[in-house]
Amino acid sequence: MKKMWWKIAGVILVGYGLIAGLVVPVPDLPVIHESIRNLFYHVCMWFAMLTLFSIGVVNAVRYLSGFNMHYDHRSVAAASTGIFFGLLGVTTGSLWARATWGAFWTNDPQLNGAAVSLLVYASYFVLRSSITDAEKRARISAVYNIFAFSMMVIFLLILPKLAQGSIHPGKGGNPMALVDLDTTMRLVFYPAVIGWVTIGVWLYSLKLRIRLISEAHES
Amino acid sequence: MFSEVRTLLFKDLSLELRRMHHLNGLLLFVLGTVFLCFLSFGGGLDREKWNALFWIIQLFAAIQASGHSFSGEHVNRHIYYYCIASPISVLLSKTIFNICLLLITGFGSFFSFWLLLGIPSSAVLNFMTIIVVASFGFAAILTLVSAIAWRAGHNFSLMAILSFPVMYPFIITLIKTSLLSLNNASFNIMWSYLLVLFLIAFLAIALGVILFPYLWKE
Repeated sequence: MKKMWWKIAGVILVGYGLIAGLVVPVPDLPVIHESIRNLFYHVCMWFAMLTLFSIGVVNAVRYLSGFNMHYDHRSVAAASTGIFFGLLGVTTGSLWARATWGAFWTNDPQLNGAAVSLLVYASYFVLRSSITDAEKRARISAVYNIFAFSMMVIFLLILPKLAQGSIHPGKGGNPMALVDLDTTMRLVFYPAVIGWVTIGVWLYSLKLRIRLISEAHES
Repeated sequence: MFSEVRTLLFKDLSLELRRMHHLNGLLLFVLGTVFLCFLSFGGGLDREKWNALFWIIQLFAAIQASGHSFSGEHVNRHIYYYCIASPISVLLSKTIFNICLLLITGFGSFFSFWLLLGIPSSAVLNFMTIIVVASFGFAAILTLVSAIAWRAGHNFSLMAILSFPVMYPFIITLIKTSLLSLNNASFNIMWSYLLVLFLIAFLAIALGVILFPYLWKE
């Protein structure tokens, strides 16, 4: 029970975020209107995805520094859970874009960055599936994970600032949504982010345990 | 270490000069693709499309060029290199060799574009500078990816899959920079873009130096 507290906290926070996100009063802004409520869901997915990918890359580094297979399992579990949240983020973002910008996908650095980060991890899994030897697979995919993650970070953080004409908030002179967010919305948004990140980490730990059990079962 | 890099590079270059199979293959690939573009577009290309076409062809040529970095030689010879040289000198010598290959292919494809499709700008010198920077960056990123694909065993199919996602930040900045240069932008504007390109390339080399030793030892 002592170890459970953060899981319970995560469930409560996500439940609070889901319900309060629908009922809390939001400012009626032009173009966005009520669709601003998607902020409570869409942005949280990205925070969870980036947290999980970071866990993955940290464990890749730890694997390479000692060649302990346990860290390889952690790295894979984090990457696959991260892809799941990335797909959710793309789906919610795409629906939001359809409602406000009029198209499911626009040529926007932020959206393309999302697509690239999913592509990186998709090819990470293609690489893994092409190697049969477990030790070798762990080593090579850890190297690719670190390399590709660094390139992805560059793409996500630096290039949108260089590009002109982004319509995504916080880029290209648009107001940063998280800075001048409405006060009542903050009260929902921050707990929701923490809650979703916690749920993400919980899912990752479940995935890891399943991997470890099936590994032990096979051998 | 410098003498190791020099010796390994000299070995690669003299092998290539003796057989010429990489270089001839690459130049033929570029010429064939540009000729195909000439046949299908017939000169009706504006700057933007010309630019995108040039760099996409160059990207495929670069993937093909650096894909052979490690798989071209027998495993026994790699064990020999493992005994006599440090992994970092192996990586650096391969990277420099790829830069040389890509410079020749880059200018080869530039001249075949010139011959067949024309150049939609007068800023030829700026564009040539960008070809040099691009060869440097392509080689920096793709040499490590080719080592990963080589170690995984399935060389060619994997090389293309693994290199695309990591190439995006570089190639997108590159296409933007080169479009600026075709539009006769002044050097002051291009400067920050060139800096980003160099930073990405140096980051790739730094990561390669750190990570390659893990791939090199079996």
